[in-house]
Amino acid sequence: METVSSSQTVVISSSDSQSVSRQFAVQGETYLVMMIEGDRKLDLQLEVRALEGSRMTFLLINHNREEVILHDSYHLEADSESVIAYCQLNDYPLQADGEYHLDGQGASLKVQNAAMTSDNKVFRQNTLHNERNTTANVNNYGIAMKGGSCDFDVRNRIGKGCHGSETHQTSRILTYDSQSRGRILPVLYIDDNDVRASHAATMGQPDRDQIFYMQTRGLSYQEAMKLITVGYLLPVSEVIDDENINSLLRQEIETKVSECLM
Amino acid sequence: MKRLEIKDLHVSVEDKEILKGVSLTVNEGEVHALMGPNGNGKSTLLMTVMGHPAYRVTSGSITLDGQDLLAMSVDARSKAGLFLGMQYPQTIDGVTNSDFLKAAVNAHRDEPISLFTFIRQMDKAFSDLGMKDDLAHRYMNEGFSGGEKKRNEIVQMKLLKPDLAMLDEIDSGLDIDALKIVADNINEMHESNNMAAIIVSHYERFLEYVRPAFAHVLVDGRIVASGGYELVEKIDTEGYEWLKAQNVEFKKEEVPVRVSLGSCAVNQKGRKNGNG
Repeated sequence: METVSSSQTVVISSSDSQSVSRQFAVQGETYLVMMIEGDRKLDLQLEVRALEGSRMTFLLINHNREEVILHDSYHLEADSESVIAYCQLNDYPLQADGEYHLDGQGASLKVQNAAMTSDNKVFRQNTLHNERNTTANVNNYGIAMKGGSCDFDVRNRIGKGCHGSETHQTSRILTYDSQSRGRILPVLYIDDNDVRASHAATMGQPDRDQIFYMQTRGLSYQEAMKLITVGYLLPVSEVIDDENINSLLRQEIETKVSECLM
Repeated sequence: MKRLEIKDLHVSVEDKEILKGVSLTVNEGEVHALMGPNGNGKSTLLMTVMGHPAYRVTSGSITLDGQDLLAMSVDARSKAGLFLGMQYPQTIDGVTNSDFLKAAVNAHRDEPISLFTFIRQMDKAFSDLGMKDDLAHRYMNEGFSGGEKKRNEIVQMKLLKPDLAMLDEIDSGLDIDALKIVADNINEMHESNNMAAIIVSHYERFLEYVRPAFAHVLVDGRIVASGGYELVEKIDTEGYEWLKAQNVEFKKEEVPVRVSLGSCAVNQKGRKNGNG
């Protein structure tokens, strides 16, 4: 297991290997960016342990030009603060299984996920509160276009004895045409009292009145859609304090949206 | 020379005829007041000129300098010099006011505006409208008061410098000071750019500031009276009752229905927790 304690960028190339397994232990204040590149199918296993009292910001950007099967799991120790952001805007299939274990008292987690697809992207996310006084916020923003589909299967579980915990999930999908599909399965398992929990799931098409409004100011339909799409996805970056990572994510969103809506 | 000509315009919304033969000509630099009871077609006329797809033109024509406006897309109409200040400006979450304004300004130019020039113009427009600086960096109209939204429409008008501004109840939601500020800015655009305007308003106070040279009354989808500013004064003192004596049939007042193109279920406010 690699120990990371400051800023690090890791590049995973599917052209080098189609099956990759990486483990990281995070301590102190850490900014970790992982870029997935290459043009072959990739099976990626990630294990990350946020050590006690650590503050981690992790950004995963998927540029792979073939399918990715991602299994990532996180163990968050006491009083650790973790922000995990995904930028899944490439136009290839994805199956992502994320497991987030809040193992230590006072551990907190924010998951921010931006996904855009004209293919098929499936996310299964399990957030497990294994200790009391733990906090989790999971937010998904998906866009399905050109016949693509986007699935969010989001489960937050507060186990027995984990009182004082708080768990929230929000999933949103925009479908850009009648051939595209979205599916959200929000699940909360609550097995103790004195907890706070919520879920929100919304799905729909871009607001045509907003598009008309923008067109009245001279923007073409495509330009209006780009602005709306970037605006829809950008909240993913809002929780990232680090300026460099925030800027990287914003740039990535703006570039990919421009490419996809050309 | 910009000349908007509307001839015998008939417009339906969801198969219900709203405009029943409207004719109106607005020449360069002319300011027209469009008045009339609620729900009689004033907003429909402006929306149709701008090209809202829910408003179906069944017959008649609209031209701008002889060009068929009805054949043009909405954005092309804007680029041709039209501006619509809306009664209910849209809120667009995730898109900052400044980003939107810059995109709109650039849409009207061949070359993108320099950041420095844009910021200078935007700051001036905000200052002219007495708006707080932070509104530039907030999401488009998100959390704006009713008055701020209306001022923001005028900010856009100032930056886009249209030949013809159609302002739909731009005075509603404005307090007395803001009313004067908005009117001053419309007058300034009229004087410096020779901007023409069609102003829908119910309030003589606002029209007194703007002093339109032309006024029209739209009732049940038809212009039933036209004149100069004295028509505004007459309506202010006598209302619309005098038109009944001239055999004008009033449409039974209905609560005006906002025509929507269909909205997205994704309301950003819903991303706050607790909507389960």
